[in-house]
Amino acid sequence: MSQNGRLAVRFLCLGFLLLLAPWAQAALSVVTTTTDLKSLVEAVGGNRVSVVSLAPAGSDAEDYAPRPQDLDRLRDARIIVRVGLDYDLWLDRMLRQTGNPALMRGGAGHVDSSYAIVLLEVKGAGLSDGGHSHGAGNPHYWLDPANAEIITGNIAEALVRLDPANAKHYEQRRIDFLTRLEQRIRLWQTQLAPLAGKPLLTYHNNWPYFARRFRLNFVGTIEPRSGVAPSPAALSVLIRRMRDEQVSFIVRHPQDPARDVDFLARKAGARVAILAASVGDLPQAKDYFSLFDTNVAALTAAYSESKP
Amino acid sequence: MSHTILKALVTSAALATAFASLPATAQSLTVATRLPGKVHLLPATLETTQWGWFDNAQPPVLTIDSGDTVIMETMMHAHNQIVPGKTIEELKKLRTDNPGRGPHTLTGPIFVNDAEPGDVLKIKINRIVPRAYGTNFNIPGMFGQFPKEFQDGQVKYLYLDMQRKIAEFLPGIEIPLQPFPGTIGVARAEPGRYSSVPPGEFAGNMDIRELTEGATLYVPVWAKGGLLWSGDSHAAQGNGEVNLTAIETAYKELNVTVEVLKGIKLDMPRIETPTHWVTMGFDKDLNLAWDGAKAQTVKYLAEQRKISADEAAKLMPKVSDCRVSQVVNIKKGIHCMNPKDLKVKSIPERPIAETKDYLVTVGKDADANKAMDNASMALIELLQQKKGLTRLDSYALASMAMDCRVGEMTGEQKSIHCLLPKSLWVTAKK
Amino acid sequence: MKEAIELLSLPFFASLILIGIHCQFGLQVLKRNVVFVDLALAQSAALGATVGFMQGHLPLTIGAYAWSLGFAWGAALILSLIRHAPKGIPPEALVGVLYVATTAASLLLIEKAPQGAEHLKQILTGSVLTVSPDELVHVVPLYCTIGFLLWLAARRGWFAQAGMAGWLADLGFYAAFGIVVTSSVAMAGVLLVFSFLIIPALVGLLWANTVGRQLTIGWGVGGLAAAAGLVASYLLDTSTGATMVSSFALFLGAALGGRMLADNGWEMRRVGKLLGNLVAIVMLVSAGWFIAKPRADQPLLDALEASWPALRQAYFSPQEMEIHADAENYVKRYAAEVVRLTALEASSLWETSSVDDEKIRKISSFQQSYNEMIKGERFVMQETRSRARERLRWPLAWVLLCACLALLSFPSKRPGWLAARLPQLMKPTDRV
Repeated sequence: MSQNGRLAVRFLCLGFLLLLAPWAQAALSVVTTTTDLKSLVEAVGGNRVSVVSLAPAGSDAEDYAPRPQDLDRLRDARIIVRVGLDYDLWLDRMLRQTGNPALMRGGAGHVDSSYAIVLLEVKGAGLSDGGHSHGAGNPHYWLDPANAEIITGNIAEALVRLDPANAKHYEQRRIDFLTRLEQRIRLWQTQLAPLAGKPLLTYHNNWPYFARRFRLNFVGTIEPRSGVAPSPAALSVLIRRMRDEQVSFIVRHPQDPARDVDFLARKAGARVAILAASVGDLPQAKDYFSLFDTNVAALTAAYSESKP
Repeated sequence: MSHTILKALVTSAALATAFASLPATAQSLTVATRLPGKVHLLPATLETTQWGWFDNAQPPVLTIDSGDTVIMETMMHAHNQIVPGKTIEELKKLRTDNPGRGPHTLTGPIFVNDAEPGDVLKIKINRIVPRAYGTNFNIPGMFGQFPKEFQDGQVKYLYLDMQRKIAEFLPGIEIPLQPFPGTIGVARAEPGRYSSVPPGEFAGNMDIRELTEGATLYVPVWAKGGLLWSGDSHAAQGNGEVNLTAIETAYKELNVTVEVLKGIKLDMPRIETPTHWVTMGFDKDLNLAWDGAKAQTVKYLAEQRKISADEAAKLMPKVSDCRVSQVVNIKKGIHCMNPKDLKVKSIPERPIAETKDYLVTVGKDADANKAMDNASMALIELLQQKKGLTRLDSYALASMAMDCRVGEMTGEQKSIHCLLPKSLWVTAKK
Repeated sequence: MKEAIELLSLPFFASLILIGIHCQFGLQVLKRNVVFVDLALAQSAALGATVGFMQGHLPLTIGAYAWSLGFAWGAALILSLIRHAPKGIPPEALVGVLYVATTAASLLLIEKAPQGAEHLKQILTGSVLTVSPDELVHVVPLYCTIGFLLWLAARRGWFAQAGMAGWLADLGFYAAFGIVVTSSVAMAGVLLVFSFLIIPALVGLLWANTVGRQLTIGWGVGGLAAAAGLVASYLLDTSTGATMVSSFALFLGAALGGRMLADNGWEMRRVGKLLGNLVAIVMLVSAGWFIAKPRADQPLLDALEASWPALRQAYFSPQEMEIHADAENYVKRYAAEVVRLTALEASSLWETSSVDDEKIRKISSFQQSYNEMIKGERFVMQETRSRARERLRWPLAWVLLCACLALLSFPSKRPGWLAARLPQLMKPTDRV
């Protein structure tokens, strides 16, 4: 083959690669603040998206301290999906640093997945300067599986906006996901039906949405405020309540201090169930479905143990 | 659905405490015996307020006779972003619709005995006593006339000095207070729930600042009993209400006397002030709102002066003083003030440049919406340049005190004149 | 009451045991001037537990304990070398560096840990309130042994030896301290253990010269402070660790004040004059601040008003009083509504059989409204107060000016009284 021929072949190859390049690049790069949202974006996007969660599995996303590489991840991202409310405030400063207007609040690639969620425990004392609403509501809304309908709606809307070519794909996947989810919710509801209305206690207040879906009666929270240990007076009230109302088990999530929970369980003769509040908190909770599978299993196990 | 909610919410004990806690001063301020008819107290609680919707199937919280007086209390509504919706389409629609302010909290509904569809409800505002504070918000990038330009939020609390009838906005800037209910209205004819945001033939969220103490609202009755609501209590508001909020407050007392008028034909609400009759029109498009207001005004002038419609249309520019009530409630509103005194032959000026008393900007465009946008934005910018206010303060001040007057509306170039009285700037007293 | 005793007796007993051993260590630590050594050791132990966790040992298992002890002893080795540090380098500085370095190392490791490593922080955040009997059973014999050895070492003067023997004694000291701190911090938390270590020992040092007496006083005061702290924490409904630390600090303050008085021969008149002068200075500064910024926070006036609201009558106009009281009533009413709504929402989560979004949204919106209105009423209360205070500004300035003029025209016979007395009162005594 002549020199020219080889060159031509090379060019052809290069051209072919360039043609392929859009395919290779086609995966829409999405950054989420938590693993739960990552799981939901994957559920909607499938192989057309590549998702990274800033807060890694098992970390406390509420107090996450961003790392330098996170800025790179954000720079490459086309969409950022966040929990919103007061949960991932640390993201705002990072977004300002990257300075990409599309990712800023109101930009095409900014998804606040709390939009249109029915919020619980809205204590908000109105807007403060900067328009941020403090006490905007309990942020653990992904723990009501039915809320996935709204969350994935917000996600799918943004995916379709930035990648209209795959709109059908995203919408179909979302519907498939929701259909499967609906069946599972019914299953979980039957599994948890014996626990409905039974009093239980939690360490951190991350369960109101979960409680609402499955009719669980959380009579109290051990920590009075996030990160504050209970006072002796509060503990003695809790112990009395546990004895009076026959609270038979306490839930905590792996990051919560074991000491206080074990102390109360010891004093009142209750069981402790360790639940995952986010995907990846427990090794079994690998994605959004197994998150609930794990929790439902842990709750029913603790309940059957607690029965005399 | 709503019935079950109400049943779930009503607890007699709570209602009793609410009545007991109605401040004694509110009652002592008004000498009850001097008020016409029987006097009813209606405090605002979870049970006596509706949230976000007008629904003519809503069970009334109070029943009165024609001629009775009601002393209502109102709540401030949260400027939250609570929105319904689940499917992608619904979510998309919510975003594009720009749903206006979050649902209002409205005290009511009040059932008026004998009020039948086709009658007119005459609501005389005897007295308004606001709480001593008011707020003005800008919710970032969400609502208002210019959400894109104002991505940042601000909230200001203002002390309402009801003795001097002013609120100090910034040192040396005092806004005169003129409390009026932003929303007061009756149920629609159609069954079902309707957002409380857009105004209409049932009155509602009119945001017409002429409806103050001493004024009377005439509103057609569309459902049995009328079903009267009020909320969105304002202490002062600019014509245009551009950042979505006036000086928002809660009323300790909104004192109204309600009468049923039979045998009067009315298709749109009207307001009577001591000197004027106010006619109005609403539509998503300001051009069409103008058409509506014009039709109502022509009709009124023809009735008042017993002239033909054509003559009334010719007379209208000379005697009817039309203003842009608001442009942020989904349906924009224009209202026209028609003098009772037939001798009046002119309307207040439509200046095109700054005058002795006013800062002035003018917007001209074939489209009235654009003319309004241009005029109000120009005034917001003027305030920054001339008076050195911050962007958000200018936006807020314009929303609370600007007066947008309708100028030429017939030709190719429609014009809106936005004025801001220089008298707001007082020499610093401290 | 029975409940309180049931709840507090075990923590009190645990505190006594912890004070018993830590006071002994505290005296040594103060002598060596390595006050923060417990923090450094505890953090090293936490670092060890983190490493253990990454090797697959869950916290609170034998494996994890072995790792933490290993790291604590490693730190002990480094600490024992401090006595050989070059001259002029304060040992405290090196201890501090060891602390921050181990903290940083464990933070970095936690970040890299696969998952769930966050609960390692539990190692450093014990709470004496929730101590279990098992924990105490484990540590009591250990502490007794170590305590006895420490007493022996101090009595025999092992630590004072030079050369190899002295270094070995030091190594033993830090190693033993490492064991103690690792378990005590897991029981009572870093803050409280630090107080147990330093404060009783300081009080002992203040009031006695011999080690035996210092220990006795330290133990006694420590026990009292712990009891006071626990009871206060119960009565005031505050978190136990922080309340106990405050109680210890108060006891230390009292001991210091007493010591100063004793050194001055209990002359109450002088103290009274000093206090009088202090009050005068505080009042003068407050008045000055008031005249400069009547709208700003006025700590003294605010505190007086909070504890004695009738004070407002002195400078509010009747109308302002009325507005203020009205707003206060509304705050109460709205707050009650918020409480009611919160309860309604909580019960609606599980009581009704259907999920009613509409009702929840209404409750949310109303909660926000009420909270906004509460904010508004509070703003009114503050505004009326500010307006009243602004009115008070110039009259007060005149009064102050007149007072100053009066003082100037009648100068004190003994100028510089305060300046002359202060150093004398503050001067440390010769006693060490």
